[in-house]
Amino acid sequence: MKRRGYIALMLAALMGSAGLGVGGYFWSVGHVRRWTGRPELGYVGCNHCHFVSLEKMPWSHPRPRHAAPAGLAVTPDGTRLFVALDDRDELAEADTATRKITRRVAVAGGPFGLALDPTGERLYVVCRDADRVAVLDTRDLRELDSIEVGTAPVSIAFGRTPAGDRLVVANSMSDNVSVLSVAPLEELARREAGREPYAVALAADASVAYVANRLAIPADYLSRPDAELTLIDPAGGRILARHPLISAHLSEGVAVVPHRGWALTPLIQVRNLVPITQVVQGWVMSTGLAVSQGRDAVTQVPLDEANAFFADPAAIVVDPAGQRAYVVSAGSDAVSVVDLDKLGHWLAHADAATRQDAIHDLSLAAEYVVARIPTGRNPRHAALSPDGRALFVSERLEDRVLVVDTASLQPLGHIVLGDGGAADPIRRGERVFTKAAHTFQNQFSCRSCHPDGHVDGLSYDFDGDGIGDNLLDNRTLQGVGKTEPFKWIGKNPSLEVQCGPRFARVLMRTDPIPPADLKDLTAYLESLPPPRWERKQQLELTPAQERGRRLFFATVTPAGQPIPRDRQCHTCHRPPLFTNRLLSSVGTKAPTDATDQFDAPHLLGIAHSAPYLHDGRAKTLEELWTIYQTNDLHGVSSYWSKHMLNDLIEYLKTL
Amino acid sequence: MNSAPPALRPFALALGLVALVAWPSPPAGAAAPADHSPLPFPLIERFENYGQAEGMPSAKVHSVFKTSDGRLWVGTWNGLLLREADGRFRRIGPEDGLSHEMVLCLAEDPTTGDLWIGTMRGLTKYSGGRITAYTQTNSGLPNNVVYGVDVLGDTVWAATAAGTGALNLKTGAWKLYDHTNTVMHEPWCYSIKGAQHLVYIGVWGGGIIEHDPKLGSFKEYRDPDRDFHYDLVPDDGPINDITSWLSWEDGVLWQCTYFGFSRRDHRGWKTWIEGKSPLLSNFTQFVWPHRGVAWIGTDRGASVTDGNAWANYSLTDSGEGLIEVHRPNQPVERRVLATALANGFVLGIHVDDREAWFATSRGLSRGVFAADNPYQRPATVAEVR
Amino acid sequence: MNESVAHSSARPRQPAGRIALGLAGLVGLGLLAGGCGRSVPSGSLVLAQVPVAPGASATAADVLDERYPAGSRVLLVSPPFGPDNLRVLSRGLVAAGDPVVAPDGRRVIFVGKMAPGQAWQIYEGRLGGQRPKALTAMPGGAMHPALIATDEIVFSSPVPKLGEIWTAIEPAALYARDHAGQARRLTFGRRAAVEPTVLQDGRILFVSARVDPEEGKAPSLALFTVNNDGSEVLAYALNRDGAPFVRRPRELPGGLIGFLASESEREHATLRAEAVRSARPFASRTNLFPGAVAPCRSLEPGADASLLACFESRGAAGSENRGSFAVYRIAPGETAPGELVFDDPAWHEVEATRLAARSRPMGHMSAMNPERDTGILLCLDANFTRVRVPAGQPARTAERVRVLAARPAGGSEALGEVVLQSDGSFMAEVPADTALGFESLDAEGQVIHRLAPSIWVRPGENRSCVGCHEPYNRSPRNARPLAVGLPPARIPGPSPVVTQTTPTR
Repeated sequence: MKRRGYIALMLAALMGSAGLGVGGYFWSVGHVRRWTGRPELGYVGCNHCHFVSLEKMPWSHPRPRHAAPAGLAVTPDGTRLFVALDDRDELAEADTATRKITRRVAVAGGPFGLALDPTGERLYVVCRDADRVAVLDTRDLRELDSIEVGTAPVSIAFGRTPAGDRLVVANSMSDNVSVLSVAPLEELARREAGREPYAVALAADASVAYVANRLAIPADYLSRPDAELTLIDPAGGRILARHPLISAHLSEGVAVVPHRGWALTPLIQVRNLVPITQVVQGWVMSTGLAVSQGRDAVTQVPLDEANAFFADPAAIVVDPAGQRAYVVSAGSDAVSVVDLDKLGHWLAHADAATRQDAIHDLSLAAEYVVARIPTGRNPRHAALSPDGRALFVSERLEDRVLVVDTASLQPLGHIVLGDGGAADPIRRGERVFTKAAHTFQNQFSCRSCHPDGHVDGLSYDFDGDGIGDNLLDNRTLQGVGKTEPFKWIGKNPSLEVQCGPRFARVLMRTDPIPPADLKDLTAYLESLPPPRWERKQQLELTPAQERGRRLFFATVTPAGQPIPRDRQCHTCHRPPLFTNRLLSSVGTKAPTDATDQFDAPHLLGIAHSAPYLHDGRAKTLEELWTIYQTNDLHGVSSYWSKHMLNDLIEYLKTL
Repeated sequence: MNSAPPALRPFALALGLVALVAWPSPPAGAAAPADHSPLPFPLIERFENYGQAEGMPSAKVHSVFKTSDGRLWVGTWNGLLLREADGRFRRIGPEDGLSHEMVLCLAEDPTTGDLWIGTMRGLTKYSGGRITAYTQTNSGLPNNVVYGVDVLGDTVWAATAAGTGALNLKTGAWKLYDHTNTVMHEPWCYSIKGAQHLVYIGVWGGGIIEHDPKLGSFKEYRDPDRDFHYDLVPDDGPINDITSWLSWEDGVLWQCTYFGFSRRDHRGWKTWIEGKSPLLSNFTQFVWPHRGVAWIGTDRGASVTDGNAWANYSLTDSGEGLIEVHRPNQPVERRVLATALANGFVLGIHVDDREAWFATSRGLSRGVFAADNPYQRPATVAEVR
Repeated sequence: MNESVAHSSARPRQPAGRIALGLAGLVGLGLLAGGCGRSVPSGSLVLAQVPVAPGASATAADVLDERYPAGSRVLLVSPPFGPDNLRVLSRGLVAAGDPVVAPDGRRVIFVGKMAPGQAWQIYEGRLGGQRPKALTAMPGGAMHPALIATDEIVFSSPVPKLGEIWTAIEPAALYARDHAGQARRLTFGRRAAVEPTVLQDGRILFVSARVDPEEGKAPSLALFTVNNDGSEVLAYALNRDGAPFVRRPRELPGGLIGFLASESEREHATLRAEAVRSARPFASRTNLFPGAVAPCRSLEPGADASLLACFESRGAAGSENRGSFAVYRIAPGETAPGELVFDDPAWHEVEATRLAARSRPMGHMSAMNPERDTGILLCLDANFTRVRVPAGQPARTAERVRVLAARPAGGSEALGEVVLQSDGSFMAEVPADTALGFESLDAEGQVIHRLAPSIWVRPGENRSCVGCHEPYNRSPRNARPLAVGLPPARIPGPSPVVTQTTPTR
């Protein structure tokens, strides 16, 4: 009796649990179908929609801060060097004779670029993270004044104009330039530059401010991307000229050459329209120097050699005599020394056709590049002593400044700022990320296409899946952590796979990145936050942005028509990451695409990562719905008015 | 102006009116009377014309504008022209980035020197040689047909066929104003002009909208009598609701309609119609104010007035250039000019102290001022302002 | 480097020589007991010696018989250099030479011959002095060993008959031998590919003959590179800008590529050291040691920035050992022969290299697909060329390109034609591992430019060029070639008689 009861109980429990299992299964299938609008489940899991919070993202965790040198400035008497330490919110002062740090002060907001006035009494510091310019007294390094400028200022230059002393500031994220008066400290003008203005230099008579822009200006699909050298009148901010830098980008420095009337801009000559069938001979990109002579004449000349490349040119400085330029190569850890007399001689004797084609001639640099000085990891900024005898180069990922004797071109020693951070996997990963030695002949680094982990705004044609097929827009790596799968078609389940042997095969054309380095690289990539995410969390939406937010989360049209779940914006772009990390078809398959299923990208910082869609065909966010929308597949937009579209765009800009 | 003694003034006025009506007009080409009171604006003594033979890419010229750096820009049916230092015209077309070949209007951002170009398919910016196109598909521009454009501070205003768009040059944000969110009678905006802290929008069939961007307020000016063809009560407001163009200078608002011409200043409204005033034609389609003087483009030529004196430039049936000068209380002075406007259908005008340019439906004309150009004397403070 | 000068008196087949060899053997045994290479003193050299007075032997039948006559040997010499510090690595071979040291500095490979009638093969020497181990068994022999990043051996095979190296119907090609002993063919040109060396960037630099519109003239040798999977063959340097015959290219310090040049294929006495700068290899050919009168047989990187060169000591001022080749340390630009490092008057030291670790060359991830028998060829603009139109002749524009394949007996066979796009671009799917040539044709079908069959694609390889005979070291313009918007034109494979592309195992 007792046994029979026990069996019955067991049977009942068994049937109950079976029922629960079956019921649970059908409930979960229904749940997923209901909330994703997908008939098939595929590999949808709970974590595609649940258990995601920004606080859990690796990039939201605190990370070690390093004394990474950014901008440098030497006092007019040459005795002191100021070093901006943006990662530490500090400014360091060093004795140039002893090469020792003499003082450090806190400067809030990520001090990045520096400029001194001619007396050396005032130091102007642009703070990238706080969108401000701080004025410091160089005697006691006390902050005297501060003014808000555009978004993410990175470079500043001082000039004495007939209208008064001026500061010109490159605001990298708002794509504009602030022109400030010094006394009083006021913003006189904010002018549109190119895309990501990154460096400023003023002519000796302060009649022109040259602004180098890091990215190419968004162009039509499959058309040539050109960057820009913006010429502005520092006195009042009038636009004097915009010199197109043909098919160029990643210009992070600019220098004016005394006595010659030149402006020199290092650049990468990018060849993204050419299918990547090879890397040899600078097929993907090569580095060069844009020589601006007067208003219209811009000649691009190579800095690379036929069999040696010097990736990611960053800062450039020119000696007071205007005879030598020093260009640092952040990817190849070298300083290229350019003899400007030889370059001038070549320019004077080359005809127009030769000058126009010069950037593609890899045997030309030997005409004027007279030396390559090796440096530590990732040189990014440089400065010369006023007499031109000492060259200071910030070895950013070594926490050091290299001092070079320009007469012998031999190193004199280092100014040590920190320990180099070798124990920090994120710092080690950044070294891998910025290191061109992983590619054939040091041709480029990860950073060449992902400056600061972001985008270069270009689409590429990798040949692995067919020449001319499956063009791919370069996606941002900022905020990419934990948004697997990766690649537009979701082929790569992890960053290790994304950056591993496959990458070596299709792009680097060398050995794969060693496993230990790959692990560090992943740590670095996962540490990259979306642009300005903390600040955006506290944003109060304007009425237009609020209307746009309601449109983004709309489930019915104003007419009461329900919007299918799978075509509501927030289904695929689900907060807080604004992606559900699943593949979707949004009607964007091109004839040359192998699939119509594409990964839903996260939208954090989306306004800064044009162009859009998997192949970059949409130049602006508006075009997603005005030109490239098909049958309401990319969200139901057919009921939107122009007012509504503009509101949605304003909301997307806040993400 | 009036040389008669005060006591005789009413009589002189009556006599003048009688003379104006009864006095036979001198034959065309007759010498002008010797003693004329000076005019507050220069007279044009001859025209230099530029047609397709002189390099215009089309007969139709819609707009003409001289930027503060002295360069002349010409908007045509088939591209934008820039007059080079050597006098030759360089064409900029869609292949260079222009949003559409048909250029409708031009305006300069005085702080940057950028030129803003309204076309039949979008708004284009020419800045330091870089050309950027804003269309209704790639930006927040309300509509591709941009009839009018102006720059006020950090904002570019575009009058389009579907409302007015305002682009904030600092933030890149667009705002739209049309019949759904303003007092605008309908969204078809024909022209726009910044006026210190205000913006005036000329609305086809909707009169004039006065907008204060700071307050977000909108005020409508309509023809009080609402009659299309007759101005029942003169000077009671805009002469007509169909605003074909408007402009503003130094506190004075000028309105073009197809049924007359209006002005609003601190004294109130003043209207002119053909026949009852020297206005050359009721069909007015463009006005360029310069030093308090309105240079008006009509379908029959150009009228110039400060509200009192008038000068009309038209063509005779045989195509000769004709100037009529109307001075208050003085007989009309008519003369045949050595050369004529390229065409009587004047779509755009640009005038400065040195010369006048006219965009017509048959080419571009440069009006060469006579020697007694009042602008050549030192300007008064008010004029400078 | 602390090489010290020594004059040993070792002679082949003489008691003193035997004693020296015996001593070397004893030293070798001692080293073996002590753990072979690990105990080799730093500064040791690996030499190839050719007897000054070779014994009577069969006349040279192939190019190696001439370069390394019977009795030639490979040995290890350690400082202080002397009879006690010699260790023969080619023990048991009738002739040996061309030693190469692996990047780890612990392996020595060289070419050797087990018996007079047998073929030359690649051997690995044992630093302990034991008999060397044969690494290849190639029909027709193997020569010119080198090592790629994975330590796989690259060599040239077969060994050409004397005087036939550039005319052989089956020319010597480059092969790579994997760790399982399998040899895979890397080059498929119709001219011999010889003298490989591995550059730091991972590519194999080798010597071959130009095949161009001036085909038929005396071979003009040049330097070429190829990836270690045989893909991406490229001209590297030399273009009728000096003596036509070159051998033994080596990557030297200071961005130099050194090589030996001579007017005659067989005359060692005229060999001189020359170099090009890797920065502009087609515009920098120079004499490495200006004023040198002594012929040079080998050139290798030395310690620091110096070089190791084997000059005939006849050229050495004040040398007591006239008439034999010896090892010298010298810097580029110095007056030859430099500082004497090692000389044995009984032997010609014809090749010398350091037994030391050096940085490992970069590897290469192959993009080949062995399952395919074709590759894709993309030309960006067939009308872009460095060939100037002769004065007075009108420039002609190509509208089609004819694809050619080599015939074994010489000449070529047309495989098909591709129509150019308006930008001059074309894309074609072509047979893999076949020597291909091209003719650009104008509207009338007249040939404008011709490249005789000389390049190839590997299975699944996507191969590109900027133009036809485009300027050297030229990057492409950033423009989208129209041809990529269309599927590649399919070019059929050659008739079986033409095909000679099956890699031999």
